[in-house]
Amino acid sequence: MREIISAFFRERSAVNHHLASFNDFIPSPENPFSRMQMVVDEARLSEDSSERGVIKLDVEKTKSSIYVRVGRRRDQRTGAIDPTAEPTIFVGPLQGKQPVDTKPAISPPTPMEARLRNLTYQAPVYLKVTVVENGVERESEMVHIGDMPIMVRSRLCSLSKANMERTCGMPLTDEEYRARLMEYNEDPYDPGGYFIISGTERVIISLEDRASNRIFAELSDRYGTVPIESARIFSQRGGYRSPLTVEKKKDGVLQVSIPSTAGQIPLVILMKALGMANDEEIEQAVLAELLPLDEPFVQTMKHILNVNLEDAASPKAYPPEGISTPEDALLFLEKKFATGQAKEYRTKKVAGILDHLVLPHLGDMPQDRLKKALYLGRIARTVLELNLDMRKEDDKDHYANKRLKLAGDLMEDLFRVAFTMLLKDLKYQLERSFARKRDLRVSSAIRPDLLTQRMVHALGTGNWVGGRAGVSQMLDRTSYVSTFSHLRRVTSQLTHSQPHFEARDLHPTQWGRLCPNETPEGQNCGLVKNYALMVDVSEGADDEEVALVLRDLDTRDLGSQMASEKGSARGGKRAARVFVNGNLIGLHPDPVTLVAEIRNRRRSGNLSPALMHRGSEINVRYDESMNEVIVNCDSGRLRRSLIVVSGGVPRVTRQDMDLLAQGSMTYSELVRNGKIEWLDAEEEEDALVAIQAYETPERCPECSHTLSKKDVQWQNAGSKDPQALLKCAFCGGTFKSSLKISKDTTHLEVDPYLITGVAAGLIPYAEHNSAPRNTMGAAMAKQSLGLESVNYRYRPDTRGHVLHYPQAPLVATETQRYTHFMERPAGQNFVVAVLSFEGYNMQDAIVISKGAIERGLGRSSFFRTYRAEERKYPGNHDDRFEIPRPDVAGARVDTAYRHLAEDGLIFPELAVTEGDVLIGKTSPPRFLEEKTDLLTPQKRRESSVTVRAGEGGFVDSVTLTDGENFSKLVKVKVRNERIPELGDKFASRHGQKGVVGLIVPQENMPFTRDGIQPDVIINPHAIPSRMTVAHILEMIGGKMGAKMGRFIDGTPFSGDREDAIRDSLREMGFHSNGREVMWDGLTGRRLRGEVFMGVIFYQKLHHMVANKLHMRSRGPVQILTRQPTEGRSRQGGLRFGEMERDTLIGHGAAMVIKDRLLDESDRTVQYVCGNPSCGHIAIMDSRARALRCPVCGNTSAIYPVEISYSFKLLLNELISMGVVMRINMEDIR
Amino acid sequence: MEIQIQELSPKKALLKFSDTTATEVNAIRRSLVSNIPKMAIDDVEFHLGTVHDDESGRDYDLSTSIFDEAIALRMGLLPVPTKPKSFRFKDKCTCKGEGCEHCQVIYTLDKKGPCTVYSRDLVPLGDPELAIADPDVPIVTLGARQAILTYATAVMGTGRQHAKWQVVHAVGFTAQPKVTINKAAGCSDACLKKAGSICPTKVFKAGDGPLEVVKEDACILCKDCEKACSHGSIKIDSDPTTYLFTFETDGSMTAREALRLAFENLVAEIDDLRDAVVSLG
Repeated sequence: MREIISAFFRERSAVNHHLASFNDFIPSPENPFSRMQMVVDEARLSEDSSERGVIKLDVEKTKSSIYVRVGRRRDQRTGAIDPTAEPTIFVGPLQGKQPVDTKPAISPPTPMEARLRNLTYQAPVYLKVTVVENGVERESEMVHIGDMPIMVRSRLCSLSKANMERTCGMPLTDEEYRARLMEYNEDPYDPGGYFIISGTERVIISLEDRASNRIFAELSDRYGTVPIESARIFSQRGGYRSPLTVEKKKDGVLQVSIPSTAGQIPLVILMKALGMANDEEIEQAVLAELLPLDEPFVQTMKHILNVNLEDAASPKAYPPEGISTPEDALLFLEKKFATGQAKEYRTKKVAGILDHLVLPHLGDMPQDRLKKALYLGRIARTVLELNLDMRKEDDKDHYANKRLKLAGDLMEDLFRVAFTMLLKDLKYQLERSFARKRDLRVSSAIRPDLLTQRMVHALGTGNWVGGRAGVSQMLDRTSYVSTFSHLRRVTSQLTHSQPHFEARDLHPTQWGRLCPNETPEGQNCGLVKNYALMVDVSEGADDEEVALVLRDLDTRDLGSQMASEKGSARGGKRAARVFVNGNLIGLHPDPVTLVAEIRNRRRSGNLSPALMHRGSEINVRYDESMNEVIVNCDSGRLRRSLIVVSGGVPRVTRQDMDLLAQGSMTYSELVRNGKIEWLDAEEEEDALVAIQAYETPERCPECSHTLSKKDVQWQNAGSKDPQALLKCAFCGGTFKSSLKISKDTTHLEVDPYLITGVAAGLIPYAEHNSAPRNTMGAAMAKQSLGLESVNYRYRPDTRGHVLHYPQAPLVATETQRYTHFMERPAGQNFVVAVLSFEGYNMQDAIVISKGAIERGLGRSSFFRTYRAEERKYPGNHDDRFEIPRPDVAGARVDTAYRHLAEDGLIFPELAVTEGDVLIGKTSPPRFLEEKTDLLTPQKRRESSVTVRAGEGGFVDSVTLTDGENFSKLVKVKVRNERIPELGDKFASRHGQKGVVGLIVPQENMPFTRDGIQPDVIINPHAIPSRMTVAHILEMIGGKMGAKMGRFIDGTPFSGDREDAIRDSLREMGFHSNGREVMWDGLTGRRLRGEVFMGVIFYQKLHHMVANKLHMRSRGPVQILTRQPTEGRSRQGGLRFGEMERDTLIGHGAAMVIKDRLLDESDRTVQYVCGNPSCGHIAIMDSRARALRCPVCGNTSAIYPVEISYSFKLLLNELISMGVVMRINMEDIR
Repeated sequence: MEIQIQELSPKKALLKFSDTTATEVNAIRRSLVSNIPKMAIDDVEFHLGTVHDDESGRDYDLSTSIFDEAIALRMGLLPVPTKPKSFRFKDKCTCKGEGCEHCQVIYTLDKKGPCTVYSRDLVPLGDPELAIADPDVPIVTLGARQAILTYATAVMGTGRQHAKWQVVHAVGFTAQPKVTINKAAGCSDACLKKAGSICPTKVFKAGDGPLEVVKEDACILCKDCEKACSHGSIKIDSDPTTYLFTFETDGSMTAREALRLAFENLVAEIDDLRDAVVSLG
């Protein structure tokens, strides 16, 4: 089935979720209902204004009726958007920003230009506004309202294939497209899917959230020991989210909790306040379709409901007369939430609660209240069902109850807030200018910076609207895998510090959706996840259309004729409730047929003409135990792809697979033809998925070659034959094997290895490892150095690494083909022996051959980019790139500037070390003063950029360009060769990490009779307790691959078999167990045992000694405390901590303690007044040149005292609080 | 010690040392690896900036996708032909370390892209016989507007200093394997045949007759055959006085020359040691 996967990745990039989501957000002619247009259509200035997409100017201020329409025209009667109306919001195309004085237009920026010039990769946003004055519509006007950051490789990006084809005016093949990308200095394999904000690449991390507008039954135990049945719903409308809880108290009364209101409201009262006048209506709302009424549980439910109704009506509980009418209920709420306020305010407050805080997803207008009352009845019903054991607690961690928010969704939240802000400002500006000069020009009233700044700031810092932080992160460019994995990351909303054990557990529904292995260790474990390889995030289809389809298929409205016919159903069953996106829309007498019919129509693509493109987005499930049909078509469901099986026969046939392999069939054709479909976690509950279609024999019955799962071809796929006909890849012979698909099977897994993500998918034979090692292996792959991109010489990353001789792993996996790991590898194939060597590889250390290092093993280069800008300051002052003259304040000695050219910049390829000046720069004085007699005018300050402490290397490149504000911007990249040294960290792909413990001259390394010497020697103790069996397998696999000159397939579950490798090893003249007779390089004697040696892919991790090496004898101190600074970057001191101090106390080494803690820290000598009644710190009076106590005036008995400066600070601080601090001294006896 | 030459081609040698010990053979091996003097590129001067090509009228940037220090490392590893006695160590040369034709070789490399630069593109100043021994080593691939212009200086060194001065590679030896078939009681020809067939290096030959040892030297001492015959008919042993010795050179000198130099060095070292001991009194 590997043909399907490769066809899938021919069609879709691995970051498709980001691109698709962003494309859906951006308006375009093909997408009239873009998220942005919807935000504009729905825009409102205040929560209670009824008109959307319109700014209404204040009548009092303008004395006339003026409004500005920004959204699309609406139908006068229904208020719905006129589908023929012209769009009102437009983005792009990208524009070059140019200084005023340059005449030729600047070409639109490319991502690389944005990176180099610290620009934001953004396109202008235009809004079409129409002013209507006293009913007269003026001509609409197109105004620039701001700039929108553009996702790289999205529809608007100049590098997207469609745009490239447009600029060169012809269709491009993949090859040509890649060549064009390289002309733009872009890596052809760069996945895109990120933004560039002020030159830095930022990703929007997918956010995992509880599904909104869905009722969750749960037992809450927050009131002590007895769990209380409750139902919660996160009601969401637009960006606004409001949870609501209904609980059944011990006395049977149902209480509702609403956010930002104190206390709880009895359900019945709330329903009445929402306009449900009589008790029958309430009963109907709760019990609704639950007919016939004679069943015992219905009676119990009715009883509980009666308790509630009586409670509300009881004068005792709610004096004076109980609550029976909506008016009573409203008065009760007014009293509860706005006691003692004016009547007008009270009414408004309660209306606000009912319309905005209660179930906002049903609407926020007074006319929506009845709907809300009905819905509350449904929630109450859920609580009662839970109470009567008719339903179980909902599983919050079930993936059917989770939704993902992608870049588009989050950008929508951001745009909504920014756009509303812009409109508010526009209204204010228009009112002002109209009042002044009766001017109504929108273009002059609008402030585009408002929107731009808001968007750019949020993306640049990750601080999103709603107070969420870390939504956008700096793209991890350590290696290609880390970039890929970062773009496929999912974080949970849950706070990372709380335990949440259930939420962290791997849930069965995550199978095939999220990687089971790739998650961080520690506090974020299980909360930060990554996509599995082949997933899709639903984009959503119109639920009203779906409801129409369901009605068409005989779903009856609640309370209709059919429903009241005592719920008559076929086969004696009650009619099933039908839900669309969690909303009950009706009943159906024959749910099984309904579900089958929907699936059939979905597969054949004729659900409804309106759902043409989005038909496959719909997932459906029949929950037998609850007798519910659940139809989902909302966005953010994480889905996986499965082969459809009907009647024990998979729909994908041999012929299909051959066509896919030839490339004459596409993956989406398979989906269109109903051969493959995407299932969400909900629908998968209904499916029976076969993992493998047939049994693969261990050896070919024809040629007796060992067979792995990939070595056979299923010849009769798609036929009704009860046995599988398999073809051996070695001899070409065919044979029969038993099928593992039964008549009940509904789906077939495409390939089991798809459950892993991009990082865990790199681990060969991962199914042989213990799970934690795979998790560690996946984590370490993201720290490995390799070829992160091919444009590394152009990229201005602040920090970057590149491995000199990256190699594709000899033991490869299928995943690597789709993550381009073979083209952008991060590691090398090492010859590794498992052996103890003089004890220098104890505790996971590794011994490495000097000869191998000298031939380039593990060599990498480290880049650091230093940048400086000629900033402009008020008063026509600016920074200057130059060689600072000696009269500049803080100027260095002449020789410090010897590398610089006239323009203050260094030359490329010069060797530099720490402290060398790279960019000579002077800044204007801090405080500007006129020249007076006493003060000389301040001099310009030296503000050169120098090489960081402990670093150095060669200047790689010097880039001089214009920054965002057309000030000169210079970037100097310094490169440093990193040759493996003692303490550098290396790791295999199996979580086996270690640091270099010894570098051995080549002649001392053990050797075989053929003269083969290992590059690395690892300790045998590293293997057994960790159970990294795949490490062993990879070693022998690599050995065979190296000898035979081919790649070994180590794909989990279907790679080359162990016996096949062992057989080949023997054929190649090695012992099949991989062990070899070795001879000691020092003595020449034979090593006692045989040594296990093989070839395995090792990664150099970015933790290198050169980045950590640190020492200090003298150095900077903090200004405040005069104690040594902290941290390597500030040449800080090494902390002599409490435990270290304890050891010295134990030794009685008092003077050493004094030396460490005082003399070598913040020792100071202070003069102390010897007057016994004073004892303050004295001063040296510089004019009198004498010691004097400033407090008592004493000048004679003043003594120097050695104290720590922090103690002196303490004295000062206490004195400042009015505490007298006296130091009383006496002579040492 | 007796040396029997089994195979000796310019770049490869297979020898048999008999009447010796492992330590003696190892001393030869270590001398081969680390003590043979050889020329290798040690200093590379890169030219920066742009060059103009008069023929095509194009400007080329003197920079490549690979860093200068990495190119220098690659050039260092190229095999520079080192004829016996033709060069001296720079610090022991008559020129007193200034560099002369007796202690250094200068190469020029001047290429314009697009192309792949090979070791044959390094042109020696002076004797054309000093061209790099292996002409087909790729050094760097140049893009369309890239060029490279360097001067590289090769000097004498030994493998102990850096692997680039290592003449001999893949040096290994093994004690002479001794494979004996002695049909034990209860053992059958079939059993022996089965045991012989699992040998990864095909030491045995089993035609129509009984199993016989045909390639004793190839045995890797894995003892699989020994274990395969439960009767103990096959015995694998090794002779600690006889050693099979193999090595290759990188092409900078012949295998014979390398071996001669290794012995010379070994003798010199032993002489030094003796002198040192004697001088101690």
